[in-house]
Amino acid sequence: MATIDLGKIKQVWRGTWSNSPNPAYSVDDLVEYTDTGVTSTYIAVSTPGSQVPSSGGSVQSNWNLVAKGTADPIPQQSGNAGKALVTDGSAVSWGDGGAWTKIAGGVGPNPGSSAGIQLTNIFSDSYKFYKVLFSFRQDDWTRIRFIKASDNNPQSAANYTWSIWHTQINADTYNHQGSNNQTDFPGNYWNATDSGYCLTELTFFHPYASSVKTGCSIVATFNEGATFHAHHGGVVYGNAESHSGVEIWGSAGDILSSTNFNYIVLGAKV
Amino acid sequence: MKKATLQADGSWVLTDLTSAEQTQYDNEVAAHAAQRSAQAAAVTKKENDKASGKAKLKELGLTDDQISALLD
Repeated sequence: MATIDLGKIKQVWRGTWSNSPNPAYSVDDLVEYTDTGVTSTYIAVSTPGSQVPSSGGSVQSNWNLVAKGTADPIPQQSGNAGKALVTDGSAVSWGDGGAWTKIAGGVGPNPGSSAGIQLTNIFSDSYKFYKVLFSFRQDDWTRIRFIKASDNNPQSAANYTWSIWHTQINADTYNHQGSNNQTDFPGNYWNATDSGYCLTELTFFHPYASSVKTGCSIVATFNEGATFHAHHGGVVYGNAESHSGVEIWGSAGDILSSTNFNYIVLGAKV
Repeated sequence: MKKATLQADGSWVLTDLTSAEQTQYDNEVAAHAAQRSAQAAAVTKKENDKASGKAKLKELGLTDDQISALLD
């Protein structure tokens, strides 16, 4: 009796393309295949053997394109924690999400037993402007030093010049404070209050540069019981050198801990 | 007494102050307290001198508004 071979009566889905299919691919087999980052569906139009469906973006002779995919527009995520997708107008990449980028942030050490906190390696050439904001809610006042990039130790030479304009309400007064040839400079120059309000903001321009002097503006607002203080000013270190961070400590000897100290460091490019 | 150093992963490493660091810290705490007290005393003296000066101007016949215009 004569036998008539009708071939496949429907197309056969073979899943992701394999270089060793079993059985071998034949006409009307459908496969999924990724070429140059684009995953598409192909159909065999002749016996393909080991021929891939597509190479370098070109469909190969034994295959036809059924449905063309699109490239994943999101770049590789590994190693880019905390970054944001930015576009240059034609392509996206991982970069900074806004004008200010978080460099570091958190609370003081726990258990708290530290008189001084060293925020090391927060400055670099990656950004030009930096802000260091911290809150030390304690009946104490803060003193600060720059940390040298050369050895990550605080710069304690008597070469800081600082000046602030201070106002307070409730026991109202206003006055100027400042000194030359100091071994450090103040954050909040007057005492805050345990569990009260206290915020100090330091703003730097390119502190990591070795060829220019490092300075920063100082703004602090805080309550000392019923008295509310507000002062602003600045400091400069007398010699040009590169700085990688700041050291902050309670000048009256109080401990900086996870319960009374919070901080954040922000960086911005020009 | 200890100092805490920030690590790349955001954690802290606490180390004891050396005896030299502890001495420096103690000296600076004392020096800063004295410095700030002296500055506070200077501010208080200035406020007292200002009040005394206002009183003498008033004795000379100036009004409070005239004194404020001169000093405030």
